[in-house]
Parts: sequence; structure tokens; C-alpha cells
Amino acid sequence: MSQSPPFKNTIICQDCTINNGVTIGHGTVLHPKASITTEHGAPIEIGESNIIEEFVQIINRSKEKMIIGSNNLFEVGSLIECKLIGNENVIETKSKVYRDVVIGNSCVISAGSIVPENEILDDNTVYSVTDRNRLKFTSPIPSESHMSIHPGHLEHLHKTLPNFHNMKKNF
Amino acid sequence: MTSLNVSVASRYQNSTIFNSNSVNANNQIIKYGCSCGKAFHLTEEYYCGGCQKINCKYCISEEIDGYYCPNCLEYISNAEAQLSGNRCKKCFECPVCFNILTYSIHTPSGQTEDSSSTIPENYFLNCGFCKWNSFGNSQLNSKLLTILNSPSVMTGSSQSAFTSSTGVSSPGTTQNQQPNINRVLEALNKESTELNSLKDKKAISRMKMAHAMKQFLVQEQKHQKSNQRKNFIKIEDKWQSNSIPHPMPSNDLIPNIINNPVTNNNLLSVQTIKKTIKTPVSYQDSDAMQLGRVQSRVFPEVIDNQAFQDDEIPFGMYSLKDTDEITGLDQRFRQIQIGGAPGGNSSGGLDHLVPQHKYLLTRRSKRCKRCDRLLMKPDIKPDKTEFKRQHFAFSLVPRVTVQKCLWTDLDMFELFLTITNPQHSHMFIYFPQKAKTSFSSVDDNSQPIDILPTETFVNGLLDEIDDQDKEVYIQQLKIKDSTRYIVERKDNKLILRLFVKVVPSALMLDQTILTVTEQSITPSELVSTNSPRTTTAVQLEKYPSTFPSIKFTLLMEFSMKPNQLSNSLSTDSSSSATINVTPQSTATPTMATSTVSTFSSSNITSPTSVPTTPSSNITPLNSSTAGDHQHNTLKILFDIPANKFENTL
Repeated sequence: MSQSPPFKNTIICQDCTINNGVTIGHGTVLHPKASITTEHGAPIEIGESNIIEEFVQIINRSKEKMIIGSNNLFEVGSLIECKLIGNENVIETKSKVYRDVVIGNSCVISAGSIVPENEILDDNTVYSVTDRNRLKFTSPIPSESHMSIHPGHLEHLHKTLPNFHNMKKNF
Repeated sequence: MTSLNVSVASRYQNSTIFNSNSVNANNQIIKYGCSCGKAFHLTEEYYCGGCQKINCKYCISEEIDGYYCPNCLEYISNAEAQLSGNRCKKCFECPVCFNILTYSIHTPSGQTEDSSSTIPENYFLNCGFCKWNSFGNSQLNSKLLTILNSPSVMTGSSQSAFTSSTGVSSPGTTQNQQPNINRVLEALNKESTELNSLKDKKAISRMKMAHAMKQFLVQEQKHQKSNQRKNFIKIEDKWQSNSIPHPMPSNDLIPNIINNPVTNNNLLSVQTIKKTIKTPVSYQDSDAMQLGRVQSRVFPEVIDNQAFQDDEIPFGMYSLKDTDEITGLDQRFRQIQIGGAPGGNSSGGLDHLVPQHKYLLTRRSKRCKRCDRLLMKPDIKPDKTEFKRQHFAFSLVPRVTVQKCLWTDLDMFELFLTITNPQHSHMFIYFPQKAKTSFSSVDDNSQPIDILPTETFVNGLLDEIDDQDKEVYIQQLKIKDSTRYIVERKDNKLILRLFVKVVPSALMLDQTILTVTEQSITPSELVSTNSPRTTTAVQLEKYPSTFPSIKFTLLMEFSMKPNQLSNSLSTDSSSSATINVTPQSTATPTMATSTVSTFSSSNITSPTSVPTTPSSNITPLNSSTAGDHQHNTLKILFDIPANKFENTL
């Protein structure tokens, strides 16, 4: 989106696992121990200005192309196997998004929730699983609060991560 | 011995989440018996220094020291907490997942111009976990704005914030009723706190009676000396001075003193009663009442197409697509309002839920029920976690854990116990062996048959030895250490071996036990079980277990002062002089075998007769604990599952 300042370089820490056929857009930050892998060699396309935190697994288990948009935040330990993710989404800590899920724009998947297969999340959907209820409703508020801090978050990571970690070269 | 009159104990499930089964199943194995006959995990019990006994959660009395909000950690006084329904004024919890809600500000962009043209900023509540928010609820959010803007919340002193917020969700009470209700609550509060502060309940009832009499016969009471009484009457006077309805049922037969106070004595005379009763009860009235009673027992006929309240489906169940839209019971219980309309939020849909104020937590001090001593006193400040006074059993009583257990024969096993001394000074332990059946639990299926017969000690945490007598005695005890029973000493731990026999409870007689004991102590077995390390290395012979879990009770005495100190010093002075340099680890094997060989059925009873030294003739040591002059009996209930044995078939 327009509000995030464009970063030229992509930050990929050295402990990341990235298979061949993965393209990552400008300004995306990969924390250490993040892994982006494909099972059958199908490509994964990741957009600009995403933040992929520690122990995030993005796995393409299908034989089709996997597309992830821009300005997304993947929090610690989340597992993503779905085929399409739009822009400005938040996938919170330890949540799991299984195969053939389509996530639109500005969605929030709350901590620890599991999105079952073939689920389709429209724009501004909030998906949260508590121990009593599985909520799926439309609200712009969570993603708005995400977008209000995302550029600053990104900027901070761009500044500090290279100081404290070894970076992968050739990017 | 007085210690043997312990009642039969039964094991209780661990209650706190820290000791729950799911975390560690081993926490259910050892229970410490309370004198009330219940047995709990050690961490759930207290130790009263006054009566030298363990207190379980049923043997303590609790009192609330203060209330605090778990979120904002603000101390809230007793009266204030009751006034606000034990809820925090500022903090809300999520109606869906009960998380703490955060205040959020939404600055409207160009799209939402129409709704917020007057208010530049929109306040709403937001749940960080399940993403619930009150954004659409304009009524709630405007109230929220008033809460946020009101100075009472900022200072946290007045009640206006609470009343306005309850006014939101309780349509039954209107705004102008609320101050009145608050005033009633306030008066009630004061009275209840006053009543709580008075200790003698009988005195209160007596005072109440006296006061009731005073209401009827308005006479000056002559003895109003006690302070409590004065306070009580002050409150009662307050009831009359304010125009608040008196909490008394309206009854025409009772003379109405509040509205028309009568100062003369003939209150109960026929004339005055007749005056107060406006319409006298006629025969027609009583007949109608009789008829009404009869008719109320006849059930009305049910008309088919008439739907009753209970049969109605309270929400659109048929239009429901997802069961997740229905609220759970706990979610509904939290929607119940004080003075609110009773089915106001019982529609069952998630979208009807309203955030509630966070419930307050309490800080409680606990007292022993037997001697009223303070067992636990927390710091009154909510942000401080240390205690002002703590008498947890865990930090005062020797902790016993099972190191391992091995079958040595069919229905016969040896048990390795680790006894840890939590205190800084030496602890002396002893296992009384008399009256085996009297203290056992009901469901016991086995019995310890061969325990250390003499007194021994467990080192303190710091080994502060400043007492010469004690030191000499400890040296002496070290010499007496038999390798049969004492496996190892390390720091403040002692590893002890004992033999337990599985017996059906019907056969729990001292006679059978004694014969079993004699059989079990055969020299060959002793050699094989002499050191536990060598036996584990060899392939163990496996035995089947008769019971799925082995339950037995062990009686242990502990004290800070050696039991036989005065006696032994006089009798064994010659021996102590010669052997006080010999360390425990290098005890000669001849010494060890000699003590073992002399151990027989006759010798079992001999040590039990010695520790009957009266506590009066022992001068108390300068130890910090109060329980150093007396022997404290612990009842330790074991419940070892058979699969915990290393060589169960």
C-alpha cells in the first residue's frame, strides 16, 4: 500500500530455510528460523513489505503456485499452507492455515486458531478461535490497528535486524 | 504415646492447578494427613506453630484483607468493592473470551463521516485475543466516553462511573433510581462491615433483640457502655434519619414506628393497633384467601396453540447456521446483572453479549481454626507478592519423596525415600512403630514392616551448629547409622530405605507383621539389597503386583530438638567420647552388621519406649521455630501406582 515507505532491500537472516522457486518482494523481513519451502517444486511468490517472524513455516504442498501479497504480518510459529493470501493480513502466533484456504485482504487470524481446509476468508474477515467459540466475522478494526503500526514495525526491523544478525547474501 | 491417637485418614485429590494430575502424575503419590482426617498434598497445607500440627484447607479460617483488580492492580477498600459489586470500575473483560479489554480510539476517516460528525474521536473496547470489539455499539461507546472523561475514574474515588456503566446494561433500573440504591447499599455496607468487625455473634443477636425491643417500647436503655453497641445503634438511627425504606417487611399488624414515632408506652395496646390497621380483616377477606389457596393447587388446562414462556425458543434457533453463535453457560452467567432485567441477555446469541467490569480478587489472611494463630498474611499492596507471614507446611515440615521402589519378593518391596529438611537447623526424625493399625488409612492395602528403629537426623540447609550438646548427639547418631536403612546423606537430604509388605487390610494385625518381619530379615537378602546401585545394574527379577496401586501409611515424628538427648548423653558418654571423630561415611562394616544383626522382633519395641521423654525437662534451644521442644507427628499417606515400580511384571 502507499503508506508504507518502500524499502529497497530485503532482509533475510542467515538461519532461514528458503527453497528454490521462492521469490520475495522488496522490503520483506525474514526473521531467523523462518522457513519457506515447497514440496513439489511449485513456486512461492511473496510480495513487498511483509514481516515473517521466527519459526514461521510457509509450505507449498500443492503443485500450483502460491501467492502471498504485501504488508502481511506472520507472527511467531504460524504455519501457512494455503494457496492465496492478499494484502495487509495478520496471521497471529501459532495459528495454522491449512491447504486450499483463500485469504483476502485485511484479514486477521487470531492467535492459536486453526483455519480448516477449503475455507474462504473475504476481505476484512476476523477469524478467531477461543476455547468456547469459533468466531468468523467482518470487522475492519483489527487490520486497521495492524496497518497503523506496520510501517513503523518494518522500519524498526530494517534498522535493527542487520545489526544483530548475520544476513544472507545474494539478495 | 499421644501421637498414635491419630484418626483414620483419607486421601484427597489435589486441588490447585499446580498440583493437578495433568501436570505431573507423581504429585498424587504422597499425601500428608491433617489431624482432621483428610490428607492433601504438602503444598496445599499449612503448619501451625502453635498447635504443632498440619492444617489443611478445611482447618483454616479465612478473612479477606482487601480487594484488588487483577488488571490494574489497584487496591480497593472493602466498602468500595461491595458498592461496585466486587468489580473494578475501570477494567472490562471480553464477553466472549474473558480477556481484558483495551480502550481504543478510532479516528474516523472519510468513510464514516455521518455517524461521528459531532464526536471527533470514537472510543471503543477491543479484545486483543479474540478480536471482539464494541465498535458498532454506539450506546455502549458513548457511555464509555463518559467513563473515560469522568474525573472519578481518573482519581478512582467516586462511584459515578460504576453507576453510569451499570445503567447501560441493566435496563431495569433507571438512572434516577440509581443514587437511591447506592445510598441503601452504602448503609447496608457500613452495617455489614460493622457486624463483621464484631467478633461475638451472640452479642450481636442479643443487641439486635435489645434494639428491637427498644423500637417497640421506646425507653431509654441504661447500659449503653460498650462501644460496639453504640456503633450499632448509630447505624440504626441512620436508617431512621434518612428517608430510605427500612429493611423490614410491611405488616399492618406491626406498629409503624418509623413514620409515626410514638413515645408513650401503650404501643401494643388495642387502640394503637386499631389505629395503625387501616382496613380491618373481614370474613370475606379470609374466605377469599382460602379460596385462592385452593385454586392455586389446580393446574390450568394447557391450550394447544398457546405458547408458554418456557416453550418459546428464545432466539432464532431455526435460522441459526453455526452453533458457535450460541453463547456458553459461563458467558451467560457473566451477563447476569445486579438489579437488571432477568432474561435481558439470555437470548443466546453471541451478538447480544455486553462487556462486564472485571471481577476483583481478594487478598486473604488465614488462621488456624484450633488456636486462631495467623498462618498466612499477605501484603496488602496488590503489586507485592511476598507475604508478611507464611506458615506453609512445605517450608516447615520435612518433605518426603519416593526415590524408587523395588519388589524384593512377591508382595514385598523396598522403598527408597528422600527426606528433605527445608529448615536451616538440624531436624530429628523418628518413626514410631507401635499401634500399626490405629493410624492406617481405610483403603490401605500394605504396611511398612521394617523401618529405621532409631532416631536419626537430617542436616539443615546451612548446617548452623552452635550447640555443643546437639553436635555430640549428631556425631553419635552418625555412628549408629546402619547401612541397612540409611542409604545416603547429602546436603539437607537423607535417603532412607524401608520395607513394605502388601497385606489385605483384614490381616493387618501386629502378630502377622512380626512374623513377616522376621522372615524378611534373612542375611542373604540383606547382602543382595545392601547397596541399591549394584542391584539396579543386575537384571532385576520381576514380580506381579496384587494391587494396581500400593497404598500405605507411614507415621513420622520430627523435631528440632533431639529426643533422647538428655538420656543418651548420660548413658553413652563413654562411647561418644571414643567415636565422635568417626565420620559417617567411613563407618566400619562390622559396626553396621552388628547393628543389623541385633535387630530382632524384641528390639523393635525397645526404641519406642525411650522417646517418651517429657518435653518439660528439655530446655528449648535458641531456634527460631516454636516447635523445637515437642515432637510433631506427621502422617504420610502413600499411593504408589504399580507401574511406578521398577520391576513390576
